[in-house]
Amino acid sequence: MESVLLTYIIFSPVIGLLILLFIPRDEKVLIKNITFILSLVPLALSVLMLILFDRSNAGFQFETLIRWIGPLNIYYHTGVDGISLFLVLLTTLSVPVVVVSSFNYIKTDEKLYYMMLLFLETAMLGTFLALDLVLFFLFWEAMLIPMYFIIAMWGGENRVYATFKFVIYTSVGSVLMLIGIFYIGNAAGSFSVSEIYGTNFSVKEQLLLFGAFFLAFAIKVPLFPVHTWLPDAHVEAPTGGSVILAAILLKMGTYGMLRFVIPLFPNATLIFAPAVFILAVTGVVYAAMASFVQKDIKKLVAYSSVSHMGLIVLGLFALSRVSLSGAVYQMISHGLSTGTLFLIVGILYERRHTRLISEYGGIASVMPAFSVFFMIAALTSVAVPFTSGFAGEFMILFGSYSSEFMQNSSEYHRIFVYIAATGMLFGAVYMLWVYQKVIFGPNINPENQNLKDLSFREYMVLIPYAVLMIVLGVNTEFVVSRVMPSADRLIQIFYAGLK
Amino acid sequence: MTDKLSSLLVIAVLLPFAGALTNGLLVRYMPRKISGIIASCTITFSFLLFAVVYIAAGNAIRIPYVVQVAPWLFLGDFNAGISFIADRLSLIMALMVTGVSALIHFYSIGYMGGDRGVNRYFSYLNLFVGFMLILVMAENIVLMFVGWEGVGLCSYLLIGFWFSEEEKANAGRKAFIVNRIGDLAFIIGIFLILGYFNSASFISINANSYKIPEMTAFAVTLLLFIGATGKSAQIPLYVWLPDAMAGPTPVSALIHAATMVTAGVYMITRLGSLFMMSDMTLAVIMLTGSFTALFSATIATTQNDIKKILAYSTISQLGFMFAAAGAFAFSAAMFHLITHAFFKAALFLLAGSVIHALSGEQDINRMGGLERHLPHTSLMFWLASLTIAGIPPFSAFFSKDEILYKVFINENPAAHFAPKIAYIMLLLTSFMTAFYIARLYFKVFSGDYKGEKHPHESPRIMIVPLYILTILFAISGPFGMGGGIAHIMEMPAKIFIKNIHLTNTFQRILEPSIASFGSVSSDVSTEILLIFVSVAVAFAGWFSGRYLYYQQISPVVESFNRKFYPLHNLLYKKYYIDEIYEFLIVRPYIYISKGLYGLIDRFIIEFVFIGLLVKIVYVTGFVLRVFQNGYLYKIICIGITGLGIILYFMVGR
Repeated sequence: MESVLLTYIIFSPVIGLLILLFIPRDEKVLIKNITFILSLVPLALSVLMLILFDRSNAGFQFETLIRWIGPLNIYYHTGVDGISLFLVLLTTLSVPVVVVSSFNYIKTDEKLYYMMLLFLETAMLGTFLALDLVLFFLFWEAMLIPMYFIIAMWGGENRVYATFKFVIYTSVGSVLMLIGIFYIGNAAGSFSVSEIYGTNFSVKEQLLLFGAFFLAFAIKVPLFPVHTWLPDAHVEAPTGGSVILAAILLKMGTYGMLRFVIPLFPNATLIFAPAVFILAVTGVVYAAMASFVQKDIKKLVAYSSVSHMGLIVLGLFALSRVSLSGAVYQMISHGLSTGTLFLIVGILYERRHTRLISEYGGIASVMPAFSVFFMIAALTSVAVPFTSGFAGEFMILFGSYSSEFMQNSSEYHRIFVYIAATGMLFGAVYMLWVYQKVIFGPNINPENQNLKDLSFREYMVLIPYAVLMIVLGVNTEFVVSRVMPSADRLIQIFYAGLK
Repeated sequence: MTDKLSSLLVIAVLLPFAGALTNGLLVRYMPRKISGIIASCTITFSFLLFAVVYIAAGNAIRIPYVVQVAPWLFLGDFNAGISFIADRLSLIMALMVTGVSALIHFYSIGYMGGDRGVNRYFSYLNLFVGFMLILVMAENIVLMFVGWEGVGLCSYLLIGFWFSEEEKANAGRKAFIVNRIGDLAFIIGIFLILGYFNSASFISINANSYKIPEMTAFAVTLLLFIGATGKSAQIPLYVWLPDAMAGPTPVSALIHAATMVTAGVYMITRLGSLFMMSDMTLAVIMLTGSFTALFSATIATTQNDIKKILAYSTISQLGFMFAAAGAFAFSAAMFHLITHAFFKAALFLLAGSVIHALSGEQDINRMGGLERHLPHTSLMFWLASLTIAGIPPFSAFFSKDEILYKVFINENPAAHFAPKIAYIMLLLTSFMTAFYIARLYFKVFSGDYKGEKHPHESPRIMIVPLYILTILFAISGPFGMGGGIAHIMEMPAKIFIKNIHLTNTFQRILEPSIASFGSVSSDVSTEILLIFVSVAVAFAGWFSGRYLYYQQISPVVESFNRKFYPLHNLLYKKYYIDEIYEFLIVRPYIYISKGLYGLIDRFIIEFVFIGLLVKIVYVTGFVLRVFQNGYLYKIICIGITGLGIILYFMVGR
C-alpha cells in the first residue's frame, strides 16, 4: 500500500522553511507567528496519522517504497509502527512548543533560527520514519547541521567548545555506523529494512557491526561513559535547543538501538547484553549522583537525563514485551518531563540571566503558577504514580525483572533491576533538593523579589506537556495498546534471527 | 452488591479528587471562606456514600466484591487496573478515614482560616484524602502503591506547607526521601509478588499464598514490611515523623496520626494470608513493633515540644499495632488502629487548640494552668489522656489490652522467645505511655500559666468536631472487647439480663475479610490476670506522672535528671539517631557523589581519556604539518628523500 501521508509529514516543515524565505528578516513578529502556524501543519498531519493508525497491525503502516538510487538498491522507504508513531507525535508537538518558547529568548537572526528549527524538524521526522538505512543515515546526519548552528549562533559563552565537542562525539559514532551501513548493504544487497531484517550475518560479523552501530547510538543516548558531551551542549544551548535535544534528539539513540541494533544483530545482542546492562545501570546510579553535586540547574537536568536514559537502555535490552513497551513509554515521558524542565530553566534564565542554583530560593512566593509546573515535571521525573514517569519506569523495571531474555543472558540479572530501581530514590534526592533550593525557602535575594509569574504565552508553552504527563500517567492504555504489538513483533524478529 | 452501589463507591473515591481539583485550579480566585466549606463537604459526602454502601451492601461484602473502573498498567499476561475492593476491612477503614478527615476538615476551617494559603491547603488536604482512599480501596497491590506514594506526596506538600521557612521545607523533603527508601523495598517486594503469582490482585495473592516457598515468603514479606516501616514510622525509618510536625497541626492530626501512618498496618492486614506464610517475618514485625513502641515512648518522656511528644507517642502506638500484626492478631491491630485514630487525632487537634490559643507557642514549659482559660480543651484533653494511658472504660483500654493478651499467648515457631519479650516491652511501654501523657497533661493544664500570651478558647467550628471525636474515643471501646473483659462484664450484667453473652463485635464483623488461624483456645483466667496487670500498670504510670508534675514540677525530677544526667540527655537528644544517620548515610552520600563526579567525569573521562585523544590528534597534526608548509624547496627536498627511499627499496635489493 502506498501512502503519501508520511512524506507530507516529513517534508511539510521544509515547505514551511521555503515560505519563511520570502519574508523579510526585519518582520520579526510576522516571522514568529508564521513559524508557529507552519509548525502546526506537521502536528495536524501527525494527529491525522494517529487517527488513521490501525492498532491491530503490528507492522509498518503508511509505507512508501520508491526505488531511489537504483543500482545501489537504495530506496526511499518510509513507514510507521507503534514505536515510531509516538516519537513522531512527540516531535511534532515539541516543535510548536519550542517555537513559542523562543519568542523572547532569541533576539538575533530570528529568521535564520526558525528556519533552522524547521529544517531540524524535517530531519528528526525523517530519522524516525525512514526504513532504509541510507535514508536513515542522511536524516541522521542532517540533524547535526541545524543543531550545530542553533548552539553555535544562539548559545552561551562557551558555545564554541560545546559545539565542537558535540559535533566530534557525534561524528565519531556516525563514521563507524556509515561503514557498517555499507557492509550491510553489500551483504544484503539492499538497504531497505524489509529486506535486511532476517539477513543472516555470521556471529563474528554481527559483533563488529553491533560495535559500530551501538557506539553511534550510545553516544547519542548518551550512555555512560560517552555522556560528557551532553552537559556541555545543554549548558550552552539556547532553551529551544535544549528542549529539542533532551526531548527528541536523545531518543534517536534509543530508537536506533530498537530499530536496527536489536533486530539486525540478535546474536551479538545476546553476547553484549550483560555489558550493556552494566553500563546502563552504572549510568543510572552514577549520573544521579553526579546530578546531585551540580551547581548549574541545566547541568543538573542534563545529568538526570543521562540517568533516565540509562534506565531506558536497560528496558530495551531486557527485551520483554513489558520492558520494551515501558522503554518506549519512558522515552515519551522523559521527553515531556525533561523538556518541561528545560523550559522551566529557560523561563528563569530569561528573568534572571543566571542558571546557578544558589542564585535562587523562595521563588514560590513570587511565581506560584510557575512552581506548580516545575512540581509536575519534577514529580514525573522522580516517577511518582499517576504521572507518565511512573508508568514508564514501572514497566521497564518489572519487565526487566520478569524478562526471560535477561534471565538467560546473565546469571544475576535481577541485581541489575534492583540497582536500577535505586534510581527512583536517588532521583528524588537531587530533584527535590533542587526544587527546594529554587522554589522553597525564604526569598532573600533582592533580585528575585519582583519576578513576574508566568505570562499567557508561557502558560501556553507549559500546559501541553504538563497535561500529557498526567493524562499519560493515568491512562496508559492509549499508548501501550499501540506500542505493545510492535514491541512483540520486534521480539519475534529478534528470536527468528537468533542462531 | 449492585451496580448502583459500585458506582456510588467510585463516586465516593473520586469526590475528594474533585474537591482538590476545584480548589487547586481556582486557587487564586476562590474566596477564602468558600474553599474550606467545599473541601469539608466533599469529604462529608464521601463519608456518607461509604456509609450508605456499607449499610446497603449488608452481608454481600462478607466476601470481597471487586469494582472494575478502568484498565491501567499492562504487565504482560495480566494488568494492574484501577479497580476497587469492597469488603468489610476496606469499607470500615474508608469510613474511619473519611469520618476523621471530615472532622479535621471542619476543624481546619477555624484553624487555618487566617492563613494566606488556605485555598492551597484545602486543595492538598482533599488530594490527600483521595489518595488515601485509593490506598484503602485498591484491589491490587500496584494500585495500592499509587495511593501509598500519593499520600506520601501530599504529606511532603503539607509538611512543607509554610515553605518559606527552610527548616520546614527540609522536613518535608526528609519525609519524602525516607519514605522513598521504604518504597524502594516495597516496590521490589511488589516485583517479587507479581513475578511469583503472575497477578497483582489481592484476592488471588491471598488465595494462592499457601503455594509460596518459605524463603520467598520471607523475602517478600520482609521487603513489604520495610516499606511499612517507612510509611508507618517504625525503626529504622521512623526519623521523618518527628520532623513532620513542622506542618500545620490539623495535618499532623490527619496524616501523621490518624490515617497515612497506619497504612503499613492496613497493608499487612490486607495481605494477611501472605504474611502468615513466614513465621520469621512475623517475629521480626512483632519485635520491631514492640521495640519501636518502647524506644519512642522513652524519648517521649523527656521532650518539651507538645507536638513532638505526640509524634513520638504516635510512633509508639503504631508499634503496638505492628506487634499485634506480628502476633497474627489482625483484628486487634485494626481495632487499635481505629481507636488510635480517634484519640490521637483528638490529642493533636487539642494540642492545636492549645497552640492556637497561645498564638503558636509549642513549648510545654511555657504553658501551665490552661485549665482555667481553656475549659473545653482541657476537659477533652484530660479524657484523651486517660484514654491513651489505657485506663478503663475508655477505648484504648480495650484495644491495647487485646493486643497485650494476643501477644502474650502468641506462639511463634520461628522464635519462641519473641512473644514474651515483646509482651514485656509492651507492658513497659504502657507504663511509660501513661507517665508521659500525665506529664504532658499536668504540665500544660495544671499549676500556673508561665507564658506571656493571653490564652483564649478556640471557636466553635474547632470545638464541635473535637467533641464528636471525644465521644467516639470514649465509648468505642466495648465494640472490640476481648474475651477476658467480656467475662468480667458478664458477671454484673447477668443480674439484669439472663443468658447474656458479650462478644468482640469488631472482630466478628471483620472476621470474613481478614486472615486468621481460627479460634485459639483461650484461657480466661490468664486473660483476666493480664487485664489486672495492665490496668495496674496504667494507673501506676498515670499517678507517678501526676505525682511528679501536678501543679509544679516536683524536686524529685530535678534531682533525678541531675543524678542521671547522661541518661536524661540521651533521651532528650533522641538517642542521637538523626546525628548518626547524618554521619553514616547523608554525609557519605554527598562526599561519594562529589568524589565520584570529580574522579570519573572530570578526571578519567575528560582529563585522561579525552585529553589523551586530543593530544594524539594534536601531535599527529604537528608532525604532518611539517610536510604541508607550502615552501617549494622543502617539498622538493621531501620529494627527493622519498624518491630515494623508494629507489633504495626497489634497487637496493
